[in-house]
Amino acid sequence: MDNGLAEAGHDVMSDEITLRYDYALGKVAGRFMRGLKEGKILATRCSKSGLTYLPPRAYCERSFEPCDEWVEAGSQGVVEASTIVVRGYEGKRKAPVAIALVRLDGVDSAIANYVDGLDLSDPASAMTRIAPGTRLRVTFAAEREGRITDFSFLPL
Amino acid sequence: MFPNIASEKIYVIGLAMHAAVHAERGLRLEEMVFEVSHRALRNAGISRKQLDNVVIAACDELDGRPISSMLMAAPAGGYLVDEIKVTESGLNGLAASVARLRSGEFQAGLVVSWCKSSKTDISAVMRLRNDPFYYRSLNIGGLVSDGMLAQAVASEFAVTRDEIAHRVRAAYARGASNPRGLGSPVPTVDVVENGAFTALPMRETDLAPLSDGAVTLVLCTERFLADNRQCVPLATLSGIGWASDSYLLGMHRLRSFTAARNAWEMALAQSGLSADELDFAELDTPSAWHEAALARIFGLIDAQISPSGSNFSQNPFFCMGLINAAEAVLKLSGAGGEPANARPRRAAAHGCHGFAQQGHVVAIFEAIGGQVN
Repeated sequence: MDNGLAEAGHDVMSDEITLRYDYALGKVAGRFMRGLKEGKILATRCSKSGLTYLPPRAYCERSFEPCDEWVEAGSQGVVEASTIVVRGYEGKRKAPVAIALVRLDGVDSAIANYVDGLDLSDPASAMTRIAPGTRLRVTFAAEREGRITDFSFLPL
Repeated sequence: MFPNIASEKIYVIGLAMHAAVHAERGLRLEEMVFEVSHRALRNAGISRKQLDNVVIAACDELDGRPISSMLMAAPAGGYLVDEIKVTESGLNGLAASVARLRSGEFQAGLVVSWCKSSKTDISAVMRLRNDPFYYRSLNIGGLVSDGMLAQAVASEFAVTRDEIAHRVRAAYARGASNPRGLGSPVPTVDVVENGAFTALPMRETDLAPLSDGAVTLVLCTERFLADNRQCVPLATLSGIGWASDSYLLGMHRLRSFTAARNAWEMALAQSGLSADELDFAELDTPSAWHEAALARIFGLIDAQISPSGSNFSQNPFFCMGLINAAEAVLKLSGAGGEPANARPRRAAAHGCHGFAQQGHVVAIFEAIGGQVN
């Protein structure tokens, strides 16, 4: 800026603010997480629209009515989309990780999670095992904590 | 088809862009925004007091302070002026500004957007945007969703690795000839073909590198223009459309590009134009995969695609769509340096936002005197 003011140079002031949030799980996510601890993947269903949501939702976006039924999702499903993240990933696991959106049997939407049981040293080859249309199965962690990462997917 | 709801012509009468820069370390946001807004008003030939509304489009998380408009409204010219803020993208800000003018309640507006992603950890911001219950610990953010989008594009449109490499190099080449861009060199075929994977099938070289930037457009109605003869309009805005896809990521969402199609058709319907009547379209393409998809969805040939280089010229990602609008207007007005006999007449500017391009905005601009009735 040519405004006659002294140039400030390229000084920066660094600052860091740490915030902690206590997210209320609410009725639906709470029951879903408790289900995971019990080795079940629970979806919600709207009897008016007939849609079954996974991840579960408290309401149906189509009918704008409360979802009024719980349904246990199937233990297998079909890959809708997938990727293997090789670098730049900051999640619960370290890269490389395989992640897939899988529509489990009996539900109408896809849920994401890690895919185990792949040789990620050759990611291009591993991608062929989780290509869209491929069927995967659910596996639960031995020790569960009521988090989405209590389960993952495995090739059949 | 969408109804033609454009009841009054909207004019772009001024604009300014911050010089393209990888990381702006020498100016704070207020200084960047004041500079582009002040210059855009001078370019428009009006004073701040003639504005009756200001639209700010920005991202609080990236700016590093909540309700950043409290700080940024004044340097945007918003002192004692009706001001609103949108948080989706810069081109959503343009859509809001146009809606305000078409409401009949406003006559002259300024829309400003900026993005200084270099100041913080953008991947942490993207992670914050995840649903905290189901997806944050998996970090289904931009990196993962872009990988999945690339997979969907490859499958849906039979896009090959060769095509992606060609598009990357062509985009850099267009950007290199843009005097307002970063002037990044065109990578070799070998570099593009062998770029490291980020999230398969996306390679690092397929993605446009991020940069910092800011941009301001000044808009007005036909009535305002008639009352302010000193203003020289740069272009008319003859159509604008926006649409959002479902939050549900899945095969349909990733492959259908429903929101992109709807925004495109809405904007074209308002302008009364078809895709082949456009001289060019500046597309918000964070990667060559995005370009490959949008070219097909919008029905564009290579010669129509992003002559500025778009994201591969500069890539302040939050305001990229509004930069595309500024680039389009510059070319239509001749202010971009195009010779009069080669000056384009009609152009589109596109912006997108959200994981895997959940939302899209398209604006159609026409050169003054070149409108199709």
